[in-house]
Amino acid sequence: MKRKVKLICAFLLLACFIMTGCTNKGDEPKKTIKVGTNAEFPPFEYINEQGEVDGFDMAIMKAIGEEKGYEINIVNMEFKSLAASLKTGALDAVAAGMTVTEERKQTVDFSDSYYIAVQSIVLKKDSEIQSIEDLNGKKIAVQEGTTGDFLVTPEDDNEIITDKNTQVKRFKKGADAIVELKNGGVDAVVIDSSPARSFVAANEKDLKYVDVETSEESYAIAVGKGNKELLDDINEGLAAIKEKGIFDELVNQYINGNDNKVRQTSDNPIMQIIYDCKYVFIDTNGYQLLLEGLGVTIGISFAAVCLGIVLGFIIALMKLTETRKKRKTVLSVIANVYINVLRGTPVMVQLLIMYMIVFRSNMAYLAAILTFGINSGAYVAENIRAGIMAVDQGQMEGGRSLGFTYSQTMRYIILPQAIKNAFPALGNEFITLLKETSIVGYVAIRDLTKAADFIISRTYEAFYPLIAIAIIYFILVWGLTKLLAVVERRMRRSDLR
Amino acid sequence: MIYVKNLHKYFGELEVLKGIDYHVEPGKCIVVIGPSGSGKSTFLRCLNRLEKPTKGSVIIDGVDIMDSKTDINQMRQKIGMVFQQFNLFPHKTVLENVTLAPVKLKGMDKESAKQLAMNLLTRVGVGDKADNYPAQLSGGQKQRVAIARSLAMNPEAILFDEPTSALDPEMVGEVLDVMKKLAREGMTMVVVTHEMGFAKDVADRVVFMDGGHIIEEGTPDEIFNHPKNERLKTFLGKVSQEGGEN
Repeated sequence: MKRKVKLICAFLLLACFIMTGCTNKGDEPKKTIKVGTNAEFPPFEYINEQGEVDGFDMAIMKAIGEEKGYEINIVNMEFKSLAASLKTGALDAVAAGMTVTEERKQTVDFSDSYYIAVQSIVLKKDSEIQSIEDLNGKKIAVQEGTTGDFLVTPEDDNEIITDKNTQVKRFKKGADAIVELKNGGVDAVVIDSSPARSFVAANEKDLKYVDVETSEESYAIAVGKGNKELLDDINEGLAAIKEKGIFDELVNQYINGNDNKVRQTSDNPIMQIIYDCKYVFIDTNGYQLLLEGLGVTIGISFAAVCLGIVLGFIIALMKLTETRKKRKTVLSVIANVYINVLRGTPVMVQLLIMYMIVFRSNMAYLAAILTFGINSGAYVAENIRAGIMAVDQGQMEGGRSLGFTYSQTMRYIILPQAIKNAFPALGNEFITLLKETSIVGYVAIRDLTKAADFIISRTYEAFYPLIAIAIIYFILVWGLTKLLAVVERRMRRSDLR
Repeated sequence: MIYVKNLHKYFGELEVLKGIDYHVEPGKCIVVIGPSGSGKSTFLRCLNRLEKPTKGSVIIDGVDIMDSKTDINQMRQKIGMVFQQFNLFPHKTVLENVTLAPVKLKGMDKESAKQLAMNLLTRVGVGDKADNYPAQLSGGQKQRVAIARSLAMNPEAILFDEPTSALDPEMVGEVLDVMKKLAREGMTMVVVTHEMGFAKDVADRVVFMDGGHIIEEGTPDEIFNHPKNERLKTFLGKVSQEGGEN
């Protein structure tokens, strides 16, 4: 009997190999699938030192892709948004250490489970908490929407945490929860055991962990509800890499491996700061992330400012047709709607609409530049218009009386003066825009702010990277202010008396 | 040269010009006088359509500027205008103020435009201010630059809209001298002013306007020494009482 089963299994596996072999042999163009993750969950997913999304989940997805002939395109986003993105079709699959739950099964389909995890409680070394029951009435940090969150949130059906005074602080990232614990803001962090081990390994001096034995759960890859073709391919691929031993290799490499950088420590506080900085910015390649982020921030800001100026001029001139004709025009109505809509909604919302709805989660950079450019255009338009209105009416008559047309007078006489009038306000707008770009991290762009985020999630140090980017932003704005002052001084030459 | 026929202008309900007929002959200096609110500035501004007349026609060189087919910008190049508030371009130097229109509108090359501008600026006595900005000039200097600016387009006529009213008294003379010189050289001029002395000395014809009508028209001698209309007499009585002019 046993032999029979073994035989059948072997036969099935053989069939699998042949089938996968067949699909590969056809040499058909690889299908690209978009795989969503949230790279804040080491060792399953994180940003590696090259600034790329890496981790156990990514590695198995790539291995499965190899097997089944898929090009894997990884999209890094908020954990919360993953399931929704599957539903809208922005993602084909999710590999994010996602636990199989009945609730999630309503919205997505799960592959075979590839990992069994337990929850761990991360604690300060001196903590007296020993089990999950001890968390009643305490302050707990979790990663929003994760199993840990459900485990400790005191709902009516929660049998363990019954004390309604238990406070749960939800963070977007596990690392932020750990930082909160280190800063004393919470008593414990409840998180999956693997990342918990990573976090504790990196902070051996301060932290320890306790496993929650009752909380066993399994991770699986999710696909959109009803996407059977992809689900079958993933399950077959998973079986294949397990069979070939690739899976175990990856487990050893990512989960059991111990490649945490050793941090130097010192009793001298100044030396400690130097060691910390060295660890945060050099040993873990933080400086490289910051430099790349700086480039992205400057690039997006510059492109958006240029676009904003062009749009601002066009919109201002459209709106001015109303002043010229002394009645509403089609152009002025359009300009008014543009200005009111863009000034009336948060730029964050505009960015998400542009990226998720207009671009369907593609081309994040273009979406960001367009969003900030279009948004800035509304403010620039009003600044320019105010500048034009401040030019003496006689200037238009002076130009027209010489035989210049309306648009020639605008171009040679009114606008140069209007820009000078509007310049201080425009400068303000550019500075605001530069700082506003710090939200592009929400659409998975690695700007300066996001770079600091990554450093925090890799080093569990919040202080140094945040202070570093604050200084960098300040220097950027300060430099821009100086530059604007020089330009303004040159423009004001004609005011000399 | 400039024929005005049955010119009416309304500002909303208010009728400011109530049917003006006039003919400006070439080479003549016409001075328009009258109490404030009489419509004289509006009349002047209608001549190059800075104000759009409500009714009637203004025919310059046989072209009706009220005709929708007329290129008004082309017409304005032939008719210079000098404003009470100068309306110099503050972001440009004195020289650039003068060269802008010839370069951009007539396609004159920059070097010849500069030479022309220097000639004109020297002629009106501000050659040494060419590289200054308007903000650095006195009112009298500004107005002389404005005159040079309109001359740069080589116009057939120049309209002066109270050119000395915004000036400090000690600067009025220098501007009037330039205008006097222009008139002697045979420039066609229509001047709205309160300077009765200028009207007496320089004008070929004087026009007295009141209440949106031309009340009386004639040589300076006829107007100032033998006024017929009562309203003109009253007006002249008032201005001589004030005694500001010459």
